[in-house]
Amino acid sequence: MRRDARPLLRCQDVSFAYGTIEALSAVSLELTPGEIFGLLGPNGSGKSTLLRLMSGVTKPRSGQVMLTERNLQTYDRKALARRIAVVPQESRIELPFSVLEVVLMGRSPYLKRFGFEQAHDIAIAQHSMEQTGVRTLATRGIHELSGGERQRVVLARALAQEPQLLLLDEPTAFLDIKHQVEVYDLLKHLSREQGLTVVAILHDLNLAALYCDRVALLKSGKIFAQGTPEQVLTYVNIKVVYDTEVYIGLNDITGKVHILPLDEENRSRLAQQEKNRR
Amino acid sequence: MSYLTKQKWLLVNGGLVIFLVLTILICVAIGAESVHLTQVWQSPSLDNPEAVILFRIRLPRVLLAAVVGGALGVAGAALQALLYNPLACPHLIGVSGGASLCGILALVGTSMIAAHTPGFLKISLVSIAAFGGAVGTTVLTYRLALVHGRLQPYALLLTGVVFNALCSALIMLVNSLVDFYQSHAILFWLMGSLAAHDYVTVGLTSLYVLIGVTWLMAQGRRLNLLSLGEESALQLGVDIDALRRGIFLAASLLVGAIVAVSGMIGFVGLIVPHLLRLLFGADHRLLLPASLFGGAAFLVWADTLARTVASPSELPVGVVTAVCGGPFFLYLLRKEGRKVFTQ
Repeated sequence: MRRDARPLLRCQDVSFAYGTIEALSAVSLELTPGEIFGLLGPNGSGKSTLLRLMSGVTKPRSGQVMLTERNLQTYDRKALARRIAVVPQESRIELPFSVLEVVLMGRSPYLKRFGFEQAHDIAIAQHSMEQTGVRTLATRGIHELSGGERQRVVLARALAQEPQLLLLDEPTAFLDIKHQVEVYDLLKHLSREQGLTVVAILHDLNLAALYCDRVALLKSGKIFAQGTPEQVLTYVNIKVVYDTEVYIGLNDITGKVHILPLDEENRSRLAQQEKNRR
Repeated sequence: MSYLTKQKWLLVNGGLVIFLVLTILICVAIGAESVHLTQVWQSPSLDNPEAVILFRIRLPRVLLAAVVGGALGVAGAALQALLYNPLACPHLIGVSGGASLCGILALVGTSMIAAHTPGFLKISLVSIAAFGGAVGTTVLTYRLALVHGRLQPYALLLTGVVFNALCSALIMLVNSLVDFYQSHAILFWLMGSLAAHDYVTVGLTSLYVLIGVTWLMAQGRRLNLLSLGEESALQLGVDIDALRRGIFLAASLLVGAIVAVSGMIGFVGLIVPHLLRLLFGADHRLLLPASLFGGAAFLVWADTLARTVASPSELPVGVVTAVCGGPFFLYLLRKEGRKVFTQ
């Protein structure tokens, strides 16, 4: 069991810039196998850039990203696609593929150049469609689906890659509340039962508090705070990072923190209270 | 079947190959002078006038139609995937414009140098110039469509469209400066024709087409991944920059080679891939070979119609492909539009 304690992925002083605009500076973090890790932070704080660096699609300007103690850039692309899968925020699929065909594309890192999918690949694709609840849609055209259904197809495609690490960029932004919790329940199940490591960008701090084992709060390309949701999602941290006042309470049922936005009137009242208290 | 199996691949392509072979056999026999294949089979010597018509005139023309049609089909399918655009056709990337302009300059030039240049020489000079123009345009559009050193579909699309508009303006300019006979020759060349070619031209065109088509067909699964979007394709292990470059160059080679021998034959590269996608699905591992055989058969039939329907005079084959293809395509759009466009 000692082996499990070794990090699956490690970012060491990773920096990145778009042209001269710095997006990330000296970010370091480690992912333990089987955990759900949330990336939080306001728009433009560098979350998506960090996710791209973790996926190996983009090369850091300095520092390095290590996957099981080996630099990500030294992996061959297909080998990497067998270990890491990515679910983008929104997927537009331009040609009228069927749902099953799209999910089977997740098997392509395992296929030979001219190969066709084997029974084994079909079985895996069907299993991942089962998991994300789109099995009944298998023969439908991807373009006939709603945004939420399409997103679950893309998640099934990522699972068909049989990755060790799953990276998601706001996977549930376009899903209704039932499908949001279904997706996160599934991710939690996969991480607990199969040791899948999950990194998700979230805007919903409550979902982060509910499902993430650990979170990192980013501000202007740096990690502002890192730890369990209870440690990181405090009134002060949110005030500094998001520049807004929120109400933080404890959920009786889950025992986790919950965060509620406040309107203008209540924001100024709360700010006054906090000032008096000090 | 909602995914591609080996059986489906073999069945569809096998069926299309048989259809193409039958098409060729039937179409060499049809024409202003009807040829009896069985008689030619019994005496294939060139003393037999029917054999002369078949081997010297019909067969090279039908074979060229098959090669050109197949290449247009494959180039169209590949460009629709590269440009994320269902309206993409082989004549959209600027290469056709450049090839036509240079071909026409050669057409006018050779007829000015010597009014009595032998016909076959004139044709091959025009072809060589057009191919040179295609290569030049390919290099130029490629350079212009690079954004931060990467080939971007939207930049390629815009560059191609603008370049074609520029070339057609220059063609108009040339057309307005030459005399009536030359102007007529220009118009005829622009409308596209598969007539008057020998086996050397057919062989050479086939060679170029074979190179481009083989490379593209080997990329079938990667073309599928391309439609997932840049980020996802990259993540699934596709070197997207190299793939885009390759598709553009291979399609340019195809278009250059065929415009050089046959002018601008429209519609084949647009409708053949759409029709086959509706029938057999979007998987490029199947769509590319199917477009090759389907495009070939379609153009052989269209050209047969072009040379027989108003016999003894001939219609431009581009007119036939447009007149047959246009209404059919509109009908498909009305009926199955949701399957053609994903949005």
